[in-house]
Amino acid sequence: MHGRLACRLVKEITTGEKGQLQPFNDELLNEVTKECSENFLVLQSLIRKMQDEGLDFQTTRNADHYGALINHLSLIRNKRCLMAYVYNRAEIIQNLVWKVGLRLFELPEEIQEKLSHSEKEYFNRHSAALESYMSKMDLDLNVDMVPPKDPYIKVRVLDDVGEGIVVSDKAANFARHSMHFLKRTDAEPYISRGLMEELTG
Amino acid sequence: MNDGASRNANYYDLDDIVIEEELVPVVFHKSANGVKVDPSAEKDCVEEGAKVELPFWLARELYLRQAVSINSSLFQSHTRTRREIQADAANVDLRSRCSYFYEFGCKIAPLVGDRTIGKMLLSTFQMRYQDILTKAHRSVCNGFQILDGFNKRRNQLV
Repeated sequence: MHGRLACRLVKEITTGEKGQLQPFNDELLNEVTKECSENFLVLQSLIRKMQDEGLDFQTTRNADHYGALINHLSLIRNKRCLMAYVYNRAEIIQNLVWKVGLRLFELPEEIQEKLSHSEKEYFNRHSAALESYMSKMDLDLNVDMVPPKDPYIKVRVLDDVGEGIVVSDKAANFARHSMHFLKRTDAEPYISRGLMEELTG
Repeated sequence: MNDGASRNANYYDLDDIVIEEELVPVVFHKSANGVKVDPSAEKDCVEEGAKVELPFWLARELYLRQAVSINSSLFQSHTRTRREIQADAANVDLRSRCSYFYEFGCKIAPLVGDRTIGKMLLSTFQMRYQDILTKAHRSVCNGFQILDGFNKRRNQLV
């Protein structure tokens, strides 16, 4: 059946949790593009056949016309599915740039593995564009996604962050499970990477 | 709701794509060459009068060009479902019949020319919504959002 594979590709995103990436399905994507090429070849041959028979393919409504029409519609449908697949993944990736980190290596390995080569490039270019804009404006746009009530927050270190990290001009020893009172802007990158958690209440 | 603008508006909408994959039984009025839609056909073609199940996206376009008509078997299963819904909408497992019951109903309604579909969808929703409310008072907030979305869809229908 026409377009069935393409729909399976789309369903892969809808069945997953919202905002979560599935591994890029190269195999299925290639099969869909192969189906597109087949559709196109049949479409071309049908139109050529009509031309050879001396029929005007704009006005004739014979079996070849409807065959060509169905193949044409399948092409459009497959294109829509492919576009939606890539587009919706790109949206998730864009969100990662804003919420998780501007550098690809800052992403958890499980996520990196799920990206295709061109998606990694998209990630890099999007973060480069964001970064150059932020440096021109001299403004960190990807912090404080939720407006803070207090510039200082209490955090607990969850993992080994490493020593000798300087935040706001003073060095602190971020040993695992230690608690700190930090500026929200300093702590946010660590929180989004899951290295620290905010203590509330 | 069947115009080009609204169709383009959710071009990238994954749910919309999945809804349109729902199968519709149709009868071909024209034959077509070089297509793989009829599993019973020996060659890659469809004969005139063939009864085939097509995904909605294909069925709609062919219907608009008068190449197919919607098969009456849709109405038969539809009548059965409708009777069950009239008996007690809250206890019908809609998910097993069509995972996008309301959305697909809105899409198919203009094609089959049955004006009662809209009313049926609305009364089904009202009965089920009431049931959800009595079962879970805490979900009222979410429920209103669903109601809003549904009313929008219903308005498109009428």
